[in-house]
Amino acid sequence: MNPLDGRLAAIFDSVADGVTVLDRTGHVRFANDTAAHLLGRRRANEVIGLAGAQLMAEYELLESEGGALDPNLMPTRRAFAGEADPEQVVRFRRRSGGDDHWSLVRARLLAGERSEDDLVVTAFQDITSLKRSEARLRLLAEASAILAEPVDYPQALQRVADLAVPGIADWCVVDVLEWTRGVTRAAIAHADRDGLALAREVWQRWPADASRHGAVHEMLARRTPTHVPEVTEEILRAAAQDPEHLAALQQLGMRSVVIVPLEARGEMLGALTAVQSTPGRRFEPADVELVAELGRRIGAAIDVARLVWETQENARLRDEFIAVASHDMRTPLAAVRGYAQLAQRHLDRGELDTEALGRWLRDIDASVDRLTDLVSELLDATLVRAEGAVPLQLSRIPMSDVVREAVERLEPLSDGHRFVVAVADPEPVGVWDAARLGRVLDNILGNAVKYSPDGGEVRIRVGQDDDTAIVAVADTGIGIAPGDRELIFNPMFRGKNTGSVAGTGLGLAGSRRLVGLMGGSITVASRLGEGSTFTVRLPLAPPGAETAGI
Amino acid sequence: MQTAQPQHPATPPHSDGPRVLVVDDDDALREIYVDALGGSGYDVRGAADGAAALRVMESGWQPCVIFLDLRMPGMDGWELARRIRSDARWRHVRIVVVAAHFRIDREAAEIGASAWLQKPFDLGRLEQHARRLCDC
Repeated sequence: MNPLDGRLAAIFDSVADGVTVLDRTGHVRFANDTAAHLLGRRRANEVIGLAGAQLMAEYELLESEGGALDPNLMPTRRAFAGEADPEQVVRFRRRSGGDDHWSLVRARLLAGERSEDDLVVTAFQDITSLKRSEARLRLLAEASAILAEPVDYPQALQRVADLAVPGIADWCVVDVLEWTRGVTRAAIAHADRDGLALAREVWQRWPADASRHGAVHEMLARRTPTHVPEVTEEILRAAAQDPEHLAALQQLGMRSVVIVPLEARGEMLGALTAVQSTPGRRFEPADVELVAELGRRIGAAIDVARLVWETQENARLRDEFIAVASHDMRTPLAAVRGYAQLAQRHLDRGELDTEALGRWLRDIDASVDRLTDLVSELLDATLVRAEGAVPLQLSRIPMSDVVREAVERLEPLSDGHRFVVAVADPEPVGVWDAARLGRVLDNILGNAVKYSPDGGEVRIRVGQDDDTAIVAVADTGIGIAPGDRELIFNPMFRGKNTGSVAGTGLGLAGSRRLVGLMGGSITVASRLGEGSTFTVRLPLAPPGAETAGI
Repeated sequence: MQTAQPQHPATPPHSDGPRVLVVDDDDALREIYVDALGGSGYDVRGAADGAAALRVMESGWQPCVIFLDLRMPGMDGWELARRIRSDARWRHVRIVVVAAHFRIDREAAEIGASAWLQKPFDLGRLEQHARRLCDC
């Protein structure tokens, strides 16, 4: 047969699809450049004359979503068999490695004068990106379905990690930011069992450590995904904590990496790390977006799970607190009633001693004071959570008084701690709500004691900077991990109230809120293993105090 | 811990009246007990915790009824009740639990108390219990 003339050839070369023409002997009589590219060649003439079977042997032929494709389903064969316009979606996997490609394959018979002259024209339309989009959406939908199920979220995280492997990555790790424990490994998934065992071992022996500024922490600090399309020897070396770690990472195989945040409502809740270890598999920018979206959905699910927990915890803590507070009120009430009834009896018997009566009345008054305090505490605890307005009772007081009283309250309850108060000269005197400030200090001092379980010194510095009073409480305890320094102010992480520390019901979240209402701030600085310093800054006069005439 | 004696001159201690021991860490309450019961003819002694109560009883002064608070620093009411119940000398001592907890009925039952009074209590009710239980 004559080769197609130049113009026809030019037309086929401008077509987006790959086109081949095969004869009954199975040889390629014609192909365009696109077809050559699809077959891993550069120019059409590298393909023409070859046996089609030989070319197809370079590939595993698979169904669109499933396993091996029956070769008899290939449209070229079906067209030669007489079927009119056969078509098939075929997934091509190059046996020498690389990603899968999908093509919509159509064929048509060009009948010749004799059967031996028959030709089949086959068109290959590359639908890889379409298929990949479908696969992405399907994966995201499945992930969301898993995350929506009412199981505990550690289980859900593992199932989502398993879902991502091997579809998106050869292996992946989910990290979650946990209160007091920093970043912890929540789930690991790997395409094969040995890899999984190795991955688990690696993360147990060399956990992601805040102080080492590893890749996960670095990504969390930047708050945007990390994409390493090609992991080099240098990168691996930098990531390894020691030579043994490096060897383990090399064995695990990290060729391409994407790390994305688990994010919800602007908060970083953890990280998802996806890794390709198969040669030839790389993360492209579109893949980064997919993993990032998965990260967002996981983040949202974790957020919901925590909100539910927080709501339940808040309700439980409030109930507990109310039970304790109302119990505590019965004792001063008993004194009030007792004295009142005593006085009545003595009166009835005509035996009323005015001195004794005076004493009883004073005692009644003192009991009422105590009751009023308890009621205020109770109210404060609920108002702080209910986000209502808190009317402050302002008076002019020296900060050192408030500090010393708080220390006096705490000293008998804390074994093994020494409290050292240093007050600058001149010392700050301001307009504040003394009772509430006292409770804030109870809370901060209580934390200083709680965070240094081995005892030690708690230093309190009282000073002034322009018209801002500063109280810095420093302990020499266990310190707070960098990732947790904001978490501790989260209302959910109030921590258990020991009951023996005054100021029941107020956690750091409540303290921060009360201080904020007085126009101030609470910040924390800390070094793991060395201790923490909480600093309260308060303007000497809250906004509006001058007009209140104080 | 010193035993509290009534301060009021018009109610001298009735050392021959029925004996009542009041155990409560709250000073005001102990004073009230002593004045109310002492003024009604009882021989009242007070103790601020379980250990002090035991000392009073070990000295040979056996009460017929103990008004017992439960939550006290040091030896609490539960521990004191346990010790009294396990000592043959004090088998016949009656206990009235006087406490604040809203499940005081359950706490009293657990201790094997004869009765309970929830704070804030009425002095009349206090005397009723004393009268009923002090038949010695």
